[in-house]
Amino acid sequence: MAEHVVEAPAPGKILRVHVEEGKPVAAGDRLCVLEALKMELPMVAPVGGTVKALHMSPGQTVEAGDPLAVIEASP
Amino acid sequence: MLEGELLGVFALTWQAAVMLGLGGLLIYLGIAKEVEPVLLVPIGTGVILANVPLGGLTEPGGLFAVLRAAGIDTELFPLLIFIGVGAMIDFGSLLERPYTVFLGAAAQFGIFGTFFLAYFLGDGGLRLFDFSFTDAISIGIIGSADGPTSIYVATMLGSKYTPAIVVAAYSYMALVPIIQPPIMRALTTEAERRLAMPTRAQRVSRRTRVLFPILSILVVGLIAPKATPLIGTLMFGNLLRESGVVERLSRAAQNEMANIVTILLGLTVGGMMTARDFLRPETIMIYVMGVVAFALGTAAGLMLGKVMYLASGRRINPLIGAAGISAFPMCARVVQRVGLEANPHNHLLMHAAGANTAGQIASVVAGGAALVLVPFFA
Amino acid sequence: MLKATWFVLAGMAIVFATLSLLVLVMTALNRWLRPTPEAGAHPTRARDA
Repeated sequence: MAEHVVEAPAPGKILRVHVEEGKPVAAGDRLCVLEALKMELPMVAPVGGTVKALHMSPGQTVEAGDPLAVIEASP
Repeated sequence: MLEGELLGVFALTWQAAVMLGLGGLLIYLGIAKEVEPVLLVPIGTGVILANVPLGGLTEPGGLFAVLRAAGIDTELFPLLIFIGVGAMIDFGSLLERPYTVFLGAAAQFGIFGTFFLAYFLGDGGLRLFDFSFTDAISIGIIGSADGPTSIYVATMLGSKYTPAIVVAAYSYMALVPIIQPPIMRALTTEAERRLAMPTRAQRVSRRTRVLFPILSILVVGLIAPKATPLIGTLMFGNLLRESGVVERLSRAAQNEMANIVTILLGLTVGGMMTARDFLRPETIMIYVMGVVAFALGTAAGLMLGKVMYLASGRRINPLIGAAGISAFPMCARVVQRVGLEANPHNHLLMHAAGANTAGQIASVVAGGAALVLVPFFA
Repeated sequence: MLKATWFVLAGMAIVFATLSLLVLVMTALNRWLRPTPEAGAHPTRARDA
């Protein structure tokens, strides 16, 4: 049961969150959209599995490297 | 002759009519296509005003003549804009990744490579065009991808093509998303573009951010003294931003001052585009050279990016080299888009922003270097 | 054209020399003025503390 932490690639603001804690996601599913340098960066799930934790909400500002979500890979 | 003085219609030459059409085109591009509207709308209007016959705006004492003498010939406008630019730029992404400075340096080959070509087509070789040594440098400076630097250097060198050069520099900056991606795809492999880079970088202290602009002025100024006005105003603006104690001044530089000077600068540059100076074969060649300049700069940045890719043991994505030309933040966005296209987990934005802000400093240094070297060569 | 070649080489040399020095400055600043954990992330909070 590997955990994958999705980190913010740039300082910016969370525009939209597309997943919920505890819900399943497939690899490549959109997790959220981060706005940085007036550009929208879509963050996608690295693996399929369950969203174990969410550390973001719409409107929140984040720093580069901040954890946004933890995905537990399904076996 | 009386009707000629009364009714402009009779004094309208076909050349002036072409210029009026060109002014309209620039305004159209700015408004309908949103190509750099902040610049193209004032420039386009300036072109129209300058070419309406008998309007007198470009005659001695006319509005454009006064503005040109006060703001362009003295270099005042580009330098004031630079204070605003400095206050807008966050050098954090560069300070976190100092090595990206070299990508900005490599991309300045766009300036020097284009100079070489322009000089070859002109006085240096084929003599197809009326490009002197200093004209060729001014044309090459389009490769700085920076409006104020282009104005500054071309005016300092007294090039007769300054208006065309400035308009080319500004219009190609808006075209970066079209010019760059094909070059990026051609010069990198799929595997290189897919390479993701770490999200975390070293943290930078506030003291570093405050000291950096001051030390850059000293380093750049002491080596390339002719770059001092440019780097000085740029870094003064940045010091306003980073000092954290003059929020008001920082905001004024970014907004009020930059906006007012942009209006004056745009109108004046447009006003310099009169038919006599603009409608010549050299102008078209300058536009061609502008694409060459952006392409060469992009390619040189990518090549150094590839060297870094190998030297770092495949940890640096060569795409970020394309952001070495200083059109900020357009290039950083283009790199992000091309990287994401190859790999949906690949967010290169901040790495590219490092190279991009480095390019801003590098183009100022390159402009200064060109000015320092001219007396020894020309 | 020889003159132009030297101009290109000298120009690029000045650019790289100047920016190499800037890299040294940045590296030195980053090393000597490393942020304290709080100060780096939130300079204002550090001032209040």
